[in-house]
Amino acid sequence: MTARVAVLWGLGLHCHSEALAAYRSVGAAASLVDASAFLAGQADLSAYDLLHVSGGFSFGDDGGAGVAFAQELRQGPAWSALVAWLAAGGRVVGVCNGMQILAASGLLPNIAGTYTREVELQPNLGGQFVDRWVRCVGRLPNLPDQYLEMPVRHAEGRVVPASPDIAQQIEDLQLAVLRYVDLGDDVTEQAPDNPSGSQGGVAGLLSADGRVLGLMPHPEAAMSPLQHPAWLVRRRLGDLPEHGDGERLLRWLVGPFLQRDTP
Amino acid sequence: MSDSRAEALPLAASDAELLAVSEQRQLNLNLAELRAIVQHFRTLAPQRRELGLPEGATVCELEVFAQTWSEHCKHKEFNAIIDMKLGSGQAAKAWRVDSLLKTYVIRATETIRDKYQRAGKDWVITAFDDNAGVARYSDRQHLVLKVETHNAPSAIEPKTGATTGLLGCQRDALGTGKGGARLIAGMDVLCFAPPQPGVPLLPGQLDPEVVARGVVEGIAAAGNLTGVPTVAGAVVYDRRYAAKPLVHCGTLALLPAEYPSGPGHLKVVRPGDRVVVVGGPTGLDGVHGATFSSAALKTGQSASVVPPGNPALQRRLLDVLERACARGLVLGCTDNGAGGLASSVGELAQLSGGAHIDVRKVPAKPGQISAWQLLLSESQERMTLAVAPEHVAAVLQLASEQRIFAADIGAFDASGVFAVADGGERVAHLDLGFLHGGVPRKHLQAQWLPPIVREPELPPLDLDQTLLQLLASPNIASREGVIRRYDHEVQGGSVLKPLMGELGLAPQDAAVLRPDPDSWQGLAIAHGICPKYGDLDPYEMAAGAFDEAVRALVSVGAQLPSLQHATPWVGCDNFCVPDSVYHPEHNSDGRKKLGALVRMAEALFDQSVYFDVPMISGKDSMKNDFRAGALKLSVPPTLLVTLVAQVPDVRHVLSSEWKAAGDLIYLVGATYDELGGSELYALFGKLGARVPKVRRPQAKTAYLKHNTAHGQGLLQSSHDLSDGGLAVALAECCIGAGLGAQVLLPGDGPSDLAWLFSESHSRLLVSVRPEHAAAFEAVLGDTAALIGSVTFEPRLRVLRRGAVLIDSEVAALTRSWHMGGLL
Repeated sequence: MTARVAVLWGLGLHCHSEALAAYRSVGAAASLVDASAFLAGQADLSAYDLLHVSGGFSFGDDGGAGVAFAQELRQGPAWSALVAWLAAGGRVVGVCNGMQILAASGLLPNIAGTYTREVELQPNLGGQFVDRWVRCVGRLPNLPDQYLEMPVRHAEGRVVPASPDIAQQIEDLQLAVLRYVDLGDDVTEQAPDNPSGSQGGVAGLLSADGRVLGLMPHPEAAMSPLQHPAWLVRRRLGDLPEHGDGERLLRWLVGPFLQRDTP
Repeated sequence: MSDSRAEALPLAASDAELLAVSEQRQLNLNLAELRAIVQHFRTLAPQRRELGLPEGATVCELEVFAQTWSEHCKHKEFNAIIDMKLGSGQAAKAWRVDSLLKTYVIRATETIRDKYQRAGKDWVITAFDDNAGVARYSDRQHLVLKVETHNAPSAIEPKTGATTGLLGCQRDALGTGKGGARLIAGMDVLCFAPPQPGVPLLPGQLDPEVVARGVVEGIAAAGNLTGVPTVAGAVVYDRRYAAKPLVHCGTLALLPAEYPSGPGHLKVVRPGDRVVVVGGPTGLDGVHGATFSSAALKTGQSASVVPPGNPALQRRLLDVLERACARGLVLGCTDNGAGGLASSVGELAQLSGGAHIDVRKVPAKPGQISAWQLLLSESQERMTLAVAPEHVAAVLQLASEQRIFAADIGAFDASGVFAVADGGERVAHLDLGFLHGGVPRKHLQAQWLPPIVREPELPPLDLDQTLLQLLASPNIASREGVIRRYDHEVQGGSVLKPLMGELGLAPQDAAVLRPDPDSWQGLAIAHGICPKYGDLDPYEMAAGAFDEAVRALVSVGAQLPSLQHATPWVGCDNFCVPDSVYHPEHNSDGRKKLGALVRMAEALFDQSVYFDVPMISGKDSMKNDFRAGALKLSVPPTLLVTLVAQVPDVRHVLSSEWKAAGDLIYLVGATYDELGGSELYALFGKLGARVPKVRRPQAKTAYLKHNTAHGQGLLQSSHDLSDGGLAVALAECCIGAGLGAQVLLPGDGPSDLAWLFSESHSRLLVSVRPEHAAAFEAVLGDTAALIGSVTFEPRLRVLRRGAVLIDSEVAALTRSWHMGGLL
């Protein structure tokens, strides 16, 4: 079955072109969906298996990363349709600003099942926007190799649970499915390997029902081996893979992620 | 009667009255210009009475003249007639320059185009004729290049100034041809004063560090929020940039070759097409920007002329334009920058032969605003489009979906007039021919005399320490603190990033992009800028800047253009100089400053033609001074050369860092005792005398041989030599790789100091697999010297004539290089 992917663009979401090309390169039937039409409840989600919320700066991130977009989503006509579609088996992935939107709207991690805001994405401890490649280890069922190198590009990426209880449940339910690691492959909270200072090195979160995924690193920008900063050195050493690690993650998104019903 | 319609320039006004009007309204028009306007209106008196307008120019009309004829918009000095004298006495050479732009920039481009046209290989499509230059990229797309400066606003409001600078440059690329180009890269070349603890600031002057931080923050905001990767740039320090920081912002874009409405690069505006304004609302912010930036900064200058930028709004504007143009809804497009609607509508109106608009239809910010202010406001994030009447509704719909304003404010016509109404009331009726062609030309004097300089005596040096000091010096230290604040990877096209290697530490000579994931074709972008040589020789400084950009592109593997390999290379020139108009009291060395500018322009011509690299756009910024009472600070004359080369296959690029221990290290190009203006001398506060010279034939030979060797797959790494010379280049290759180097310098040639630190141009440091040495040497011959090999031990050792000159751990080099990073 070919996965049908809707890639949201517009209103400040601007990583859509590379995301669209990336999904197509892994065999998905991907198309762009205008964020303003989506928010107005005019997008027919039933035509898709996966909704990809692109990176960018929705509404300029006024009032906090992803907050304005999330508010409009929650208060507008799109919300109930989205929840119903998720219940019917739809899947959502948000990358960078997409993850910030999902967290702010209560879709992620949604442990209580009430769509309340359970985690915040707070400013990086370094206080600044950071563009750098990071090493991550995943805990994504049926992903062949859980070690992933991808770029991060954000100013607000520190995952902060709203309470110690939520933090504990994220661990108990194993929802922190992607973590930053250092050169020794150990989970790290230190910059630069962990660019936000996220506790427990959290770089990606899964919702409790396993249907919504948020990622701070950009898999769509790690598709070709030539996107990696060390590609020329690795090629010389005979160590250049055919694809970037993001490609493996995208294949997982349009494959195993769509098929599972519980985490 | 509204204030916009009142008579501002009565036909009977005396010279003193004319000047008083210009002064009062802050128009920066000189007497010749004011007289020309009055003279023009005298001939129109009967017609104007019929139209119900005052005989003399109205407030609105006069404001339009002031903006349209400002230095910023009309480049009166770059287009002036200049009497130039080189040298003095009997040996002096004198000639007349009829416009620097035409003589040295456009003529170079035409010379190159002519040569390639005859071979059917010209790649330039539009040069100096639109908001940005256009050149061939592929059958489907053209490349669009523009680099702008935004110096004056950044001096008083660093963050806002830089944001609007980059956003404005983006809109130049967006408003080229029919519009809607896809913006694929941003660039920023920033010139700051280094922090000077203990030096008191002049009244109204901002701390250089505050300026630098604000500017970087502003560029980051603009690039990151619009989703255009900031991939290339430079930071240059000289204490004289305390007068004004130079904030160069660049944009590279790809424009569809064909739209449903016709060729992408051609604006076709017909009588009857509608004038549509799209973007943010218009307000009082930014009224008088063009006249402001055409003057020296003065103490206490208000920041209200710097309009705030809104990158989030601009992103939506990009989305609307890209889609409207792709659907064939737009016939022509231009940015609302300096001069606002007066400029944008006035420019597009030249294509149809006239236009009439009602400024009250322009979406305005809340509050009172008069007609002339609506017309002249430089509120940001606005584009003016020419749209066929049947497509207006679709454009307005697209804009409303992205929640930005759009309005139909009038129509193009063939009346020969730019007519402006305020609701039902006529406020301006301007002859287009006179508005764009009537400005009187300036006539200026220039002279360049070589300075009297000598080589300094340096104390005995600990060369290890000297190298560490150089690595930590402002012009050499790591730029990581700036680079990582910019999203340089969005859109997924970066192949050579500013920092490469396993540790992300290796600085690169040029950025390489692969804009389309379904093709291996790409573009390389590099800059050249070296103002520090200008005091010694402005010609060699400018030639050096050009060479710096050329060698950077060669270094990453771009093939130099020739009739055999017509690889499209194009460039953009940015001249930033102090006030260069002689005045006995206010600018007594004006002739010398203009002389330096003429020499810079000559060098640009010579380099451009010799290397077959045409400029397709450019900009000059002429008043980079700061005045506080009697005191005046001036920036050093500066030329930025931005070059873009096509790369047929991005898999064949080169990066700077060593690749493997055991590889051999060669130095391509000759080293001379040319320490004048060097970073070494700067450590001791000295200038020196022997400036690096560009030897064009030798340079071209070296580049073509480098091209050949690379074409045969013989190069593992390549790094150009610039600030700090060979020693710094070696250190950077080691830092980037985490490997070391064992180097034995040739016994002949210049002194140890010159070998290590001379900044002779046209040199490249390459590494080669040992098994390729013979093939490499066969190609390079005596153009390259084997100087050492890459070592696994991370240590840089440089020996000469049996003595150890440098012996440093790479970790120590890295530490110094990082510590010196000022941001």
